[in-house]
Amino acid sequence: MAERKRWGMVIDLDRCTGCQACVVACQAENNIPLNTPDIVLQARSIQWIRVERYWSGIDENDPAKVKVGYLPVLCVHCTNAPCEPVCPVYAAYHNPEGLNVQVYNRCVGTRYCANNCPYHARYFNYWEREWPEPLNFQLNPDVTIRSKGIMEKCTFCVQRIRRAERRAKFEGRTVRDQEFTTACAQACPTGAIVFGNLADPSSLVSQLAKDARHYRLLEHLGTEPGVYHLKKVDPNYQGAEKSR
Amino acid sequence: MAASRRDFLKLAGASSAGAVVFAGCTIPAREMKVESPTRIPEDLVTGRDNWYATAGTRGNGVIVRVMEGRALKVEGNPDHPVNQGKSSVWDQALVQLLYHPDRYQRPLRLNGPRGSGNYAPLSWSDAIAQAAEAVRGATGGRLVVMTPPLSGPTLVAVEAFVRALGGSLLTLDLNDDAVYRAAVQRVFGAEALPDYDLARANTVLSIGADWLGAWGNPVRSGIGYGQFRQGKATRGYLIHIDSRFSATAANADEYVPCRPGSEGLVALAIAQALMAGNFGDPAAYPSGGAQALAAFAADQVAAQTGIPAERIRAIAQRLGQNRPAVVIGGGSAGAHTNGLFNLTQILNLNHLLGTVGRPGGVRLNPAPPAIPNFTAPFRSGTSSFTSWQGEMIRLRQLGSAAVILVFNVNPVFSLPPALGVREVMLNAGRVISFSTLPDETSELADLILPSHSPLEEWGVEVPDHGPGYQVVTFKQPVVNRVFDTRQFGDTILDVMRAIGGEVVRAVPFPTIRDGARLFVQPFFDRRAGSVTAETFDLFLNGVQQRGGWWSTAITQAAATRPASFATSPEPARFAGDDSYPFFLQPFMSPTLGSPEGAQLPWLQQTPDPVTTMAWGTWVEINRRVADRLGVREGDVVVVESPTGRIEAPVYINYGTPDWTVAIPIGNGHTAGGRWQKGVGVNPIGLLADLTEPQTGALAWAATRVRLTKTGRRVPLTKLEGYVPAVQLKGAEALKITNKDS
Ligand code: SF4
Repeated sequence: MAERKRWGMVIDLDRCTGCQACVVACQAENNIPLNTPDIVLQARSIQWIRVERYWSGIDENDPAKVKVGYLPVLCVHCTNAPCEPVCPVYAAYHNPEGLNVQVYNRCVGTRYCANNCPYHARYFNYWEREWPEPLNFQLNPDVTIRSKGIMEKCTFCVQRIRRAERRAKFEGRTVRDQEFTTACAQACPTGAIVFGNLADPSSLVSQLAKDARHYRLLEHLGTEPGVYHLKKVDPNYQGAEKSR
Repeated sequence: MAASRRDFLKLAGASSAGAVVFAGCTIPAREMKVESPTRIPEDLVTGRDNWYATAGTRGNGVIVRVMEGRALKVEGNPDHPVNQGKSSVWDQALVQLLYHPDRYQRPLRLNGPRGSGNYAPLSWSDAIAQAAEAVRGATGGRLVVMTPPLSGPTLVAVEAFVRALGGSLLTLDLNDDAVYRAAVQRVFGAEALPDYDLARANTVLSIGADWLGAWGNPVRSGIGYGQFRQGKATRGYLIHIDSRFSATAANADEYVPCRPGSEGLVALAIAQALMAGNFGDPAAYPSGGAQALAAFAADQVAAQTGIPAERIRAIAQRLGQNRPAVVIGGGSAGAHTNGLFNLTQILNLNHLLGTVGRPGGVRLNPAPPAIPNFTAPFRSGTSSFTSWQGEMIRLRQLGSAAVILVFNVNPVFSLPPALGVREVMLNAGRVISFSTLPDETSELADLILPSHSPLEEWGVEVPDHGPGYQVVTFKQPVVNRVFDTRQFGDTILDVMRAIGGEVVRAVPFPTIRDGARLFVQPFFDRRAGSVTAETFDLFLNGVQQRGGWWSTAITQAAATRPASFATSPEPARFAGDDSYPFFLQPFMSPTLGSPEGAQLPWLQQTPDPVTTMAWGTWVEINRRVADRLGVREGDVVVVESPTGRIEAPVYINYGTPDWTVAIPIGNGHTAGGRWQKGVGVNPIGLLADLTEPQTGALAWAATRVRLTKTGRRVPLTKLEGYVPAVQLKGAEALKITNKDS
């Protein structure tokens, strides 16, 4: 019954259309505070998953040459997480299932972890956030609301993991592959996001992570991310492909 | 995270279309177990969550997680054939509409001059009595009811009401592509909109339709798109032709800018090249083939379309050689004075490619079912722009004799001001609003009888973008009403009863809930399809649990017919002379989805996929045009058309063609909830009232504009900047490969 777990994710950039369903699904699931215009202007929006959009092939003389690529970025739950050792109060810790966990009631808001995260995946609560009544009725009771001065980030929907594990335990079995998934993956229309146990070689996520197009963000830093991206395919791409 | 009940459904139905027999049910013993509190993991609240199925946006089916009476989260209904468990930003935001703090919370009566915004509460019985009083005498065409397109029992109730009083029903939906609907009827001979089998297509050509943005049902398209890209042996290839660099253009392998209004010529040139190269399906060639279309050969029309001839020939070759190939047309291609001509020529390419009714091609949908005993159709159409124009002229003449009822549409904001909707409302005898949230139109009402939000309503709907077979979605409340509101249809039935006399006899059923039961009865009688049961009550139970009823056996056969292309061109007309050098492309913001989306903070704050802009209105031009005007990103420019003028900041969209100025629709409200009022500007006032003559639809892409710089600058509310716009050379975060595997 004690099955080894390493929760992880694969995001196929060739499927992603930048539709943002994952972003809003995450906000709905995880009680993420509203990003009002002033907050957006200060670049202090909180989006545990964000979709980065990159221009390429910009040619002033031919608008038709421009290309757009979408890169969903979330906490990649590094095996060697740079945010963990710098926390003076052990608020950022590594759990046995491969999650990089933020313990909110330990956090004292030094923001060292955010400084040390190469993925810009950690977000600080600069304000006490409000949900004008009755908007607060929507808040997910499974997820803590973070107060001012607290660092927050993607949890891989730990509340869903716990719920699935509890159900499996009731039923005297192990968690089945794809019996649950994260909010972002569940919403994603194109099926770009797949979540699962990387320690189980037969899981869908393990299979996809072996795809020839796989890479991990800033892999050269040695952080060993638990999130794999699959390269975008552009049949007309002229760029260097030799290194791989 | 589906409840165990859903798991059972999953296992029982082999596929989402599989049949489930509903028998009496008991709770499985394991669900009665309670876990010891000492074993509860941190961060987890005990309690049972329930999932209720209902209708989402754009024909999707959703399930809503409800705990302790509160709706917490919307997910796609995994059983629903349209969206198969997936959902959009708009579906997700339904809970914010439900719990919006600025909703009308009880009936209100105007206490001061119209438009003053001073209201006093009153009881529902008084509100119904006052509405009945106002409506009772409004016979002989003096009553006008303005709503979004309605369906099922609500439509039956409202039609009965309007008919009993001799009034008229005007519907409004900025996302309804009326010209596309007409073109589909002409080209495929089908009443319902078709489904595109993207999952099995090898080549997709789309012209004008932003099907990965806000056109059609992007969730359904997205599911097909994911398969098209990476779900089969060969990766699909997408070509998008448009006069604007849209979300679909951003995802295309090839984006081809064209001159606005020339989309029909582009299609004819492709048809000519297909036939000349013998690429398509020769059996489907119209008589005379390439010769008949020689005048539209790529070289002949290159100057008018702005597309080099060799590009057209290459597109034709790819379409012909990498079949199945499917062609989608809609959106801006139909939004011209020659829109129907354009879309007809574009959709006709499907006949030439032999993909109508074939895998990887165009799948026709059956017409909505007829419901015995009701004369109203299952779903209402959308009133054309010309019928709105006509009604406004009539209402202006009626003046204070007119009685106007409005439910969840905002014509004061959404229609060009030249139509005079605001003046008509200000001068009408009585204006009664049934809207859920305040807006520019409801603020002109004398009486407000607020309606439920979609998650509190009963109803029966047929999705507009079906999966190729009959689907009926059942809509039910997932929580008790949040405020003292009532479902619009029920209020109308109450008003009918309060009017009394002849009108009472027209009441079709006591409540919309009862009406919904009547609507699904015929499907029970069929004893087939996704839900079957011994008794009607069990059947209804099953339909409510599954989210609807569907049958793969009810389809629409495609008639194979030869393609028939026009042999004389129909050029587009534009408002504005050469002193207006740019063509305005207004577009529905893919994140807001509709003008009502501006009320919801999740939709406002979500970055637009192409520009990463949130919370506002911007003007998209390319870098070269910006340099010529001497403006940079964030510089405020004046956009002027023959009919209007706005000011908004520039965003540099590198893909925008030289001749295009693109501005998103949805923001610029002067009234409404806290998140919409005062955000951005409304470009609808720029639009001239040119129409597509056969459908009477507004030609919303037929206005020319000029830009002048103001010298003012504002910071842009965008995600870009927080993350870079272009990747660092040599350290690309997003990696690209040209290997097609
Ligand atoms: S939901 Fe999927 S397709 Fe949409 S932006 Fe997120 S990852 Fe991309």
